[in-house]
Formats: sequence, structure tokens, C-alpha cells
Amino acid sequence: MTAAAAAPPAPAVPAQARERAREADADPGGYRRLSVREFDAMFSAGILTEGEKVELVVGIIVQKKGTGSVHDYILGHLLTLLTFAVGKRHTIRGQSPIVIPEDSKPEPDIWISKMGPDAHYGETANAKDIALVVEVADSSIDYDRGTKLGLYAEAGIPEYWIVDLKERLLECYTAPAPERKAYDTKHTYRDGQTFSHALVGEIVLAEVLGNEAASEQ
Amino acid sequence: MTSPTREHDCACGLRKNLPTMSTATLNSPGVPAVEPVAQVQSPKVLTVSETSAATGPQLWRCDVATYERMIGEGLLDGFRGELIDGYITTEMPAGDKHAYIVEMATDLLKARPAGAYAVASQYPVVLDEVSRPEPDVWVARGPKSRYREAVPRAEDLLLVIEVADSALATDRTVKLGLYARAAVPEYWILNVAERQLERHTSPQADGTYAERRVYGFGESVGSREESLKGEVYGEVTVAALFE
Repeated sequence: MTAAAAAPPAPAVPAQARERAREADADPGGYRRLSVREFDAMFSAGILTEGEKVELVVGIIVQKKGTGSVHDYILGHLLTLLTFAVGKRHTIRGQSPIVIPEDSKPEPDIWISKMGPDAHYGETANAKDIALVVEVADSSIDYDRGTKLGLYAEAGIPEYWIVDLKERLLECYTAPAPERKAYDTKHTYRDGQTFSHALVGEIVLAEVLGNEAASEQ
Repeated sequence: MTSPTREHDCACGLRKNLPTMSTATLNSPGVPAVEPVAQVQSPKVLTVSETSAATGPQLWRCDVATYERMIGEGLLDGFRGELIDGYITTEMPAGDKHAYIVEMATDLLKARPAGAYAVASQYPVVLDEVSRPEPDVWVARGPKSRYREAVPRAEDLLLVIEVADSALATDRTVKLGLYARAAVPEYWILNVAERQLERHTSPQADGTYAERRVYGFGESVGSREESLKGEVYGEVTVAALFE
């Protein structure tokens, strides 16, 4: 990644201010926040196009960050692993949007539905149907642990994984507390560990993270 | 002083690159509510630690043409907002006195005999490719019919006024930077709480005004002892604005 070389541009409004704005009943100004319906209307009107890498997070249109080749490799790899694991029992998607009413439409790196492949025909999956969301994090780790975690917890998504590429570990968040925008339980699995999961069976961290040493040779 | 520049992420899908603009600081915590009177203000540039900018996402921006298209499509109906540095923003809710003072200032300026000027309140102006604010009051080169087809652009503006109650910090930072960079020759902030008129003149390319003078309740702008741009608005007594 070369992006770290220059001073990173600051977003116009700090995350805390956006969060505060959202929590206040009266809109104290700042960004015009959109509903999912308005966001979709921007695509219908051709203001936004399918080629644009944007998602709606608490009413704010954000650019999805460009990801590194390691991120893309691990994401593809994990998607394959999980697809084999859930088979035809659950719908699984990579970088596909989910709707979190009323003001969010993120595109998680991976999500697994509570339902089978036929359930979401012709519509965007709703957060209430989601069993597990995964984000593969490189430079985005703070955002994934902060804003994204709050978003998924508030939506009541039962389980959220963050694959931390830098530290080579997997954080598994369960027991969402929507009113606090937090998860009550967090397990951390490191390289070399294995854990058993109700939905996807046995997960071997070394498999998820790929063989760093081998790839460097 | 830190240069208020902001790199634009070209991955945003806009058809053309947006110009490099200042870092907006709308409602940012830590912007001082009151600052020393004599100090020239510059837009506050947020640091990485304040924003977790290194890991946060880039927010979507659009240009004036896209913003106007959104208005045309009815996508922004029922909200009063502005395009600032490519960001679609909402207005701060105004206090009770705000609308009244906007009216007073507009009436005062419209009452001037100079028919060569156009005066409007809360009507958009286009400052550059990515900024289309709606100042509380503006005075532009006349005649008014010039703006029948298109809203005023930066070079048409002679004076912009913001009536500041809840949004004082924004008016002194984000808006000031915006108007100064657009070379709007004169910018007034009507400070409702202090009943003062802050007058900023001599805009600089770096987004500041070189001169700032505060007029108290008993004072007048454009009085005879000031050989300023009195021909635009004549003498305006601060008391008349706030009474």
C-alpha cells in the first residue's frame, strides 16, 4: 500500500460529530443524510451509477476504500471456504449490499443469510435476515471496529467477524445489544487456532489467513 | 499555518476531478465559540487524531452540476441545504431571531437607492465547481435581471452576510474560508448573541480575509469617516440590524 506515504486527507466531519448529529433528535446541521429510498433514487435518476464504489452508512454516502491485493486474496479465499461450509443451506454473498432500515445500505465483504438461496430473489437482503457479516480489514480496521460494528450491532445482526490482516487474527463478535450499538461477546482467534462454529463448522485460522510464509517465497 | 488543502480521491466516480478544496469543518468539536477579536480567522484544518482520518472512509462529493441535477430530479425536496466543497450539507437550525435579522439586513440593503445592485436573502450563489451555498443575504452587481437565468457567481458578488446564532463557529471557519477563496470582497458575520457586526475584507487566496473589524451595537459601517465601499450599502448602523 502506498497510500500511507502522503498525509491522509481528513474527512470533512469527524466521526464523532456525525455520530452526535445522528443521535440528536433535531438535526444540528452538517451532512444531508439520506434514507435508503433516497439513496436508491439517486441510482434510478442516474446521479450515482452501478460502477461507483459507494455505500450508505447512517445516511451518509461514503466511498468504499480501494483494497489491497492481500485483502482481495483473503476475501476471495474466505468466501470460497465459507461457501463450501454453508453449501446450499444459506445464501452467501461477497461485497453485496444489505439494507439496514432506514438509512444504511452497506456492502459487507461477506454476509451469510439465515435463509436459503431462494429467499432473496429480486431484492436486496434485509439486515433482519442476516446471520453473519464479515469484514476483512487492513487499513480500515478502526472503521470496521467502530462505525461498522455499531451499525451491525444496532441492526441486530447476530454475529460479526473482523479478519485483521495486520495482526493475523479473527475477532468474532456475538450477542448484539442494539440500543448500545455494541456486541456483548467478543472472541479473538489467532493464527494457528481452530474454532468450531454452529453455522460454518470448523474454522482453521491458518486456512483463513493463508500461508504468509509460503506466499513470500 | 497549515495549508487548508484536501486531496480528492479520484476513485469517487465523478466524471471529472474535483478541484482541491479546503477541509470543511462543519460542526466540528473543538472549534472555538469565541476567539480574540483582533485575530484573523483561518479555516481550522482537522488533524488525523481528531478524525481517525487515516482509517475512515472518504465521503462522497459531487459538483454543482450534479447537485443541481439532484434538485431538478426532486431528490432534495423538502430540505434547505447547500453544496459546500462538494458535500451536500444541511442548514443549522436557526434561532428565533435569525429570520428577523435576515429580514432586517435585507430590507436595509434593498432600501439603498443604488438600483445597480441585486440584493437577495437565502438564495443560492455558485462560488466554484463544487460550492453552491445559500448565504443569508448577498449583494451582487446589478441589475437584478442579470440573475433571471442563472444564479450569481463568485465574481458577481460584492457582499455576503451570514446571520450567526447557532452556526457562529461554522460561519467563522468553513463559510469564511469559502467566501475568501472565492474572492468575495466583503463578508459580514452578524453575531446575534453579541449584537456585533464582524466585517471581513481583503480576501486572500489561502482562504482568509486580511482585514477584520468588529462593529459594536452603537457603531456604523460605511460611515463618512470610512472611505470604503459605501456606495454599495451606504451607512449601516449596527443597532438598526439588531433592534
